[in-house]
Amino acid sequence: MEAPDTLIAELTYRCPLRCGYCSNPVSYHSQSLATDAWVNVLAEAEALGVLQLHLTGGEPLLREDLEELVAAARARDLYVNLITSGVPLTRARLSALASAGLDHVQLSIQAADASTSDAIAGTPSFAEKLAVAGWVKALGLALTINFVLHRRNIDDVDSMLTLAESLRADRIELANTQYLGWALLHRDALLPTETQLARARAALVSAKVRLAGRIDVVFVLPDYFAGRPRACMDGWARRYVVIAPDGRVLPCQAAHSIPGLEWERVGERPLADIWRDSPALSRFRGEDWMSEPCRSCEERTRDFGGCRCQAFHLTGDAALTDPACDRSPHHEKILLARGHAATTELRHRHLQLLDTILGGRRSAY
Amino acid sequence: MDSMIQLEARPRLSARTRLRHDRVRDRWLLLVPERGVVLNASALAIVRCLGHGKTLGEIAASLAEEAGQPSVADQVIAFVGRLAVRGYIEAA
Repeated sequence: MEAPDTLIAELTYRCPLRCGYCSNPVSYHSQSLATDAWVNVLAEAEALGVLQLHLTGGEPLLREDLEELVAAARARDLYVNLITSGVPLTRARLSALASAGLDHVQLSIQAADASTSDAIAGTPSFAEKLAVAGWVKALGLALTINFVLHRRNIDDVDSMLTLAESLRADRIELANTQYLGWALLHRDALLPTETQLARARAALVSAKVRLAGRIDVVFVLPDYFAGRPRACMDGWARRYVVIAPDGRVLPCQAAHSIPGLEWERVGERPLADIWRDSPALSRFRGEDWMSEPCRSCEERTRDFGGCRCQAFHLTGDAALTDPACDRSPHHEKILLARGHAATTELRHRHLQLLDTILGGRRSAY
Repeated sequence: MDSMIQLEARPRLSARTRLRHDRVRDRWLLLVPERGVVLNASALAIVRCLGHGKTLGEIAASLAEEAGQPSVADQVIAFVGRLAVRGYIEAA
């Protein structure tokens, strides 16, 4: 069994933004690990073989102990990436995070212009984000600008690239929405059309060539259009270990949505033991769990059968081939979703669990 | 960018990269945002020479001498070029 090289630490699910494409859980408990528990996790993860740390959420800046966690990670020589919306942040705090050892900031922006970006985020944040990008560069940190693409912004990839270039990004990540959590519930309003996607792809291919040596352009194609599934997390419990805000040890950020799997928490047993033999982490590791068409497919060593969460949410059975694969007997579900030229308006995700239960009531205006 | 990967260039690693030994797997990596570049022995030798004011030509000459090979200039240029294209190299 391979040791994980990357720890994705979801420090909290709370977030000041309300992006309509959010793939985090639709409802959640507010409990989250204390500082010393996270510090222990960092040490355990590094000893297990982790080299890269992603501090994410939710919005990790909402943790008041973020500086302490960054320092603890750098003390273990981890490469520290902060995955953030940039809100709420001051230059002084970013400077403190840089001093604590932060290496890289991945900053999300929702669109290339203020009004679209703020509308998608459900809160005015565009101007703050631009300021944050400037501070990141001024402090000598690596900067990735991340755009999540969907029907409402995918026609603007050229403007997004221009914006990221003007912000002196080292990397630009244009990742299509992953249809999990809130995003799956609102897929019909998010999924781009085939024509939109072809245009965006052409723009990105030429940008990659134009920016080579200056900016690394990463483009994640939506698997709904690829014909083959994503190599989700590079395989279940293989390279990535995810720790949820409540300490659950997961193979990806959405795996807790698959019923019937019991997730162990850090602190209950050593992380190395959980990684090695937790039944839930072992459930879809390797190839033994596969049935046809994956079992005899030559692609299985490259795509690992695709996304288990997507298989579950679209077929009801997490052990089936990801329907994004055109060899899946359930592939028609993907084709149907693509065919829905839905006119549904995108809805912002709700801030609170209560709103989700009550259904549809908007909060925080 | 092209001028950076000439033999006369004195490139150094970007401040945003970190050279690190992976003790669990006993290998060396260049850590960069969200990923790592695994270095074989030759790549590690090249990376360790960067940033000391030496030109790539001088680095290639000393590595060739150590390895007892006639020339490794092409390999040095190719490898440093691959790092440069991802933005992991800065001109001195």
